[in-house]
Amino acid sequence: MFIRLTFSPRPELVPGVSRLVADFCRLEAGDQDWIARVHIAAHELAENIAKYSTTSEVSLEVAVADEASGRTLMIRTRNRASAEHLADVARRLRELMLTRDPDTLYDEWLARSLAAEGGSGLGLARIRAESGLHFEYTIEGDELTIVVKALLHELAGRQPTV
Amino acid sequence: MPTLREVRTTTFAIVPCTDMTTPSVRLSGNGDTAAVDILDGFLKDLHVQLLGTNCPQVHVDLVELYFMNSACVRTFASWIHKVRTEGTPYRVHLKTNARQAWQRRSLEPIKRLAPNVVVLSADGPSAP
Repeated sequence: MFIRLTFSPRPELVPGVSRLVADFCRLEAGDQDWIARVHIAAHELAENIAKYSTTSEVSLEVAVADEASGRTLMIRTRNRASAEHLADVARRLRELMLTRDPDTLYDEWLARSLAAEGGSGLGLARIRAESGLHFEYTIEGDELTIVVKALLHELAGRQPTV
Repeated sequence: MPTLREVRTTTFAIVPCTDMTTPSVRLSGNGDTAAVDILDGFLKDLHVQLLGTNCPQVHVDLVELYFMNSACVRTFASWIHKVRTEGTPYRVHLKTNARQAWQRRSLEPIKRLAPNVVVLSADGPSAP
């Protein structure tokens, strides 16, 4: 099952969009913690596309489906963005995809963000570190597609580190 | 004792508790984009007042905070960084809701920034 939302890239729409994603997940399971993880991920992704889109329309899709490795949750966002932003986000996403220690990477980006103005990539690093979701992305022309996904049983079994 | 005004919007609130010996602040609602500037301004004022009154500690109750975006996390981290680097550091006790495990996950990186400043504690039993 899935839902696909197309909306104006306006920050005030982001809380409603992310809550709708959380409500969608409640149909799948009653585990409040993994719903909270997905809520955070959806919010951070929706905020990013609302902030960086260069057009009047962005989209976010959430789906739960059976794949070969098990039942999987997937969130996909699409937006058009400037070449400068695309280069920056691609560099950050590659780093997130390659890291074996997302917690340490998040700590580094958090510390770095304290000295920097503007975009820090912190939301993306938070998704990787806190939600346990894995990234994929493509850039075609000026369109960025980000996919985050995880097996449901991995989401449900992930506990706080302390 | 710091004197700070409470801040309320339709979805977010910061309420200082001034009737206690240790300064205390309660956050509730949703810490999303609309809350970032409010939180930032409040924490800056709080920091100035705590330094000015030489308070050794402050309690921050997050039990009824249901969401926090990365910009709010960064705002908290910025405050803690200032506590660690400006003046005489005071202790920051963050009380989380054990039923909302995301709070602990989101605040642990802030504690790692300043382990001698931040104390994390949980209120109530954890979620089943």
